Amino acid sequence: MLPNSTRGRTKIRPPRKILSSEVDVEKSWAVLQKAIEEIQHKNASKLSFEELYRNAYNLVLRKHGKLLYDRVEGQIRKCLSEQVRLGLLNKLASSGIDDRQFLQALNKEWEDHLLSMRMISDVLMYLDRVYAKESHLPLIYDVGLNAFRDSVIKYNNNEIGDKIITIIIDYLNRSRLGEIVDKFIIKAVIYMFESLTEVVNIDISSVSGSANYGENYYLHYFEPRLMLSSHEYFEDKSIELLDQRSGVIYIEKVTQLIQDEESRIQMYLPDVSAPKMLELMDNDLISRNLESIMMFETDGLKLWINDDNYTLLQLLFKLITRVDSEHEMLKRRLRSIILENGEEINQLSNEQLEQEVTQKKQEEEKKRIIAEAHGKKLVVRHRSSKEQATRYAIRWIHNFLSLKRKYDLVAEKSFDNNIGILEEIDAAFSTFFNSNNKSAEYLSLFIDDCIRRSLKDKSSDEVEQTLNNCIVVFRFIKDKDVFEKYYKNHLAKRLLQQKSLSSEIEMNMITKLKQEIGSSFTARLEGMFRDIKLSQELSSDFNNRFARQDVGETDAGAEIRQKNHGRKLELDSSILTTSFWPMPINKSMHSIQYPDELQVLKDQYEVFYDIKHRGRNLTWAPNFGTVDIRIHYPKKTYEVNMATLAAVVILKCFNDSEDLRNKHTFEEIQGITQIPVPELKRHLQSISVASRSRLLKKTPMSRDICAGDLFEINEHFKSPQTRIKVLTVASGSKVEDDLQRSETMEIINKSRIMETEAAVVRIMKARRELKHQELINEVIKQLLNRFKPQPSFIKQRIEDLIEKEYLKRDEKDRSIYQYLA
Amino acid sequence: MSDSDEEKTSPYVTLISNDGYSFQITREAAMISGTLRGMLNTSFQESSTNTIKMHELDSQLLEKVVEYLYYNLKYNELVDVPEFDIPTEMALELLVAADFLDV
Repeated sequence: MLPNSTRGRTKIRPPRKILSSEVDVEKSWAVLQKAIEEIQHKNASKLSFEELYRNAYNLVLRKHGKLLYDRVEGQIRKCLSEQVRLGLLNKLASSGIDDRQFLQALNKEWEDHLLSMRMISDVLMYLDRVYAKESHLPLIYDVGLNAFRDSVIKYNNNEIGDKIITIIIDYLNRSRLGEIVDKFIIKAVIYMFESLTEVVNIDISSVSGSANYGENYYLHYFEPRLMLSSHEYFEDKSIELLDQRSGVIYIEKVTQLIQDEESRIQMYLPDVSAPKMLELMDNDLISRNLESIMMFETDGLKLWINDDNYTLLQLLFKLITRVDSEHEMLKRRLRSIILENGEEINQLSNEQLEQEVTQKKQEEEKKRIIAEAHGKKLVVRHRSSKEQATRYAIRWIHNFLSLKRKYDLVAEKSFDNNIGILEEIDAAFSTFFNSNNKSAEYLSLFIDDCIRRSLKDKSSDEVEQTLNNCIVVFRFIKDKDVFEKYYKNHLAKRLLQQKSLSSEIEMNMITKLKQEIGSSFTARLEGMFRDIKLSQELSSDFNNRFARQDVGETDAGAEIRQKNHGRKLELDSSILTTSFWPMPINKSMHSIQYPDELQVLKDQYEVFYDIKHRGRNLTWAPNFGTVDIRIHYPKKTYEVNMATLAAVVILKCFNDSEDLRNKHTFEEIQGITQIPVPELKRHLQSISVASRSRLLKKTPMSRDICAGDLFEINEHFKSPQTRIKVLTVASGSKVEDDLQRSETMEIINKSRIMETEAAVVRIMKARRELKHQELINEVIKQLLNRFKPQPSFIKQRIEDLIEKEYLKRDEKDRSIYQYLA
Repeated sequence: MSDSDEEKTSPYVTLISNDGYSFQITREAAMISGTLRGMLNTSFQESSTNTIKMHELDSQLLEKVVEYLYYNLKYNELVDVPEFDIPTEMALELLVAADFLDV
């Protein structure tokens, strides 16, 4: 091929000229004009391409390109305007022709026109190549398309075009109503619209806001109308659906509608419109309404979740995914619903509890009536308010768990386990969980209840499941140290009172906690276990030895044995490492005067322990122990198990004298035993007031122990069983009251101070020098497993440490701390 | 165009010079020229007869043109191509012919 530039500059004429150098312009045009008419009437096959081409070629070559170009355009326009357009208008006017036939006629004209233009532009190839390109004019073919646009479609103020658009939009609307329409004709016409380019006009394009490129009749005229009508349609539809006030109907209908519309778009509309239409549809049907739909009281998101309506929720999720991949709308609603649910849990737990209580009451009432009918009197036992609160806590955790499980299922079945939504759900749960300042205690109580009672006779799978659930709840706890505190308390009680169903379950729970949060958290819990285990070995060792000694009999042993009618004394001790266990060493217990029996055991044990572990300090904590004693009442002998302190009272004050009528005032007892007053009151209450275990008789007979009350052995004590257990007031694990709670929080706060300071020192020791903010961040990171310290709290600790000269500020930059070794 | 469909299947076309000589060339070669391609691809007279009268070219020139069409066909996609021999006296005429034929 020859380079373009050569051709462009070609003025050189061949030396041997074949044709006459003079061309008759009019004659050549006449030939071409005739040919164009023939082509438009589909008579092209009679024409010689070569002749036409040659004529056009010669015209262009002799610089008549412009003339030819303009005349061709005029010719095309004339034909379109006078024949095609009028023909179409006639069809429109005639009654015998329906929309579809009109569109078909139009399409036929269009196709014919395209074909003619193809041929004309082929013949005028040279004109295109040389004249049009050099003058930067559209090619003849495009001239033909523009002519069709101007002379047919847009002629007379878009007369025909308007009509076509109306027809097609009407078609689309009819198809929306379920009518079957001729999709081929619609597609064809839309394709035609797309082929008609629009003259780029800055004003218009800036108004419509779209790019100048690729403007065509479709985008410019058709699409806006389409959008408008679709918008109306969607809006009508959504209003119609909203009127039904039913979220279910709305979501189902809209899902169906969207599906239909999508296939419609795919079938009729070009790709450029699809995203716009989808956006419009999503906006009209989803974004605008769905949030209010979800809030429907009677038929909204909350209800669906409540009803586990997974299919519907899935539809909802899919709809929302269309408009927002982050699902903000859904997350917002979920959050507030979960918080509402949280409120409901509080209520529900209360109601369930009340129901339980009324049921119990009714049963007891029945029992009472039956008993009375038999002439017996039965005392109705009322649950203490603390016990109530404990049951409430257990219920609460239980309900919390089932709610969480419900949402997990919903997320799994309907929300695709979408990570963002899962996070939102967890966050919402965490918020409402932590908004209850007792939740950590509740969980610990729940676990306590499980291990004491509810896991009894459960399969190992069920146990595993329950414990895992506990861990699920545990994750939500923000201040893990608070939980640890309670857990330790409850665990201690379980271990000392041997209330655990099995140590396996205990260990399992601790292992799980360890996996969850690390060994530093559980080290002390494990230590508690070790203590108990070692203690058991020690005790059996001690008891063996003490028992053996009666062969070689020590003085003290013999004396006691004799006193106890030859019966052996045994001691089960629990040696507890002070730092592991939650109970403080109670100094006030030091001065207690033990009865001889116990004193002997105590001394013996101390000697025994000192041999085993030299140099260790034993502090006795009688307030946790129990004693089995045998009491001879005039009528019967009972074996009574009671708290050590209660036993001290009985053995010390009411055992010495043979005279059972021995009376002591409260002050006397206190003087003899040296038991601290509040403890003494508590234990006296359990052995003199509690109905089942009224071992002592109190005068006056009132509920509360007051100074000056008189106590004596209750000769008329009667009990159906031989073995009695004296329940000490407030044993077992119960919800703390407010006072206790604030005490607990104070303890926790103290340990937080320690931990924070320890963390600061640890970090500074390693880093030597650190900026304030970095230090704060590091501390928060280290403590996150335990609790979330406030920066101001940390700052205070740092100040303290500076005062104690662990740290100092850098002299130049005050925001830098340095570690002082 | 349907009536020319069968004819089109013919692999040869005939070019006739203005002094009456015919040249049978393969359709493939003829297609190299944009002008000839236009003539053969649209439903004009030429496409049904598979014959093109070249009023602008004499036999000498047309022969050279045909030679070039084959030369182009053969070497179009290769790199190291031999010179195409153009007699000096014919150069200008060939230039015009090339412009006319769009090659």
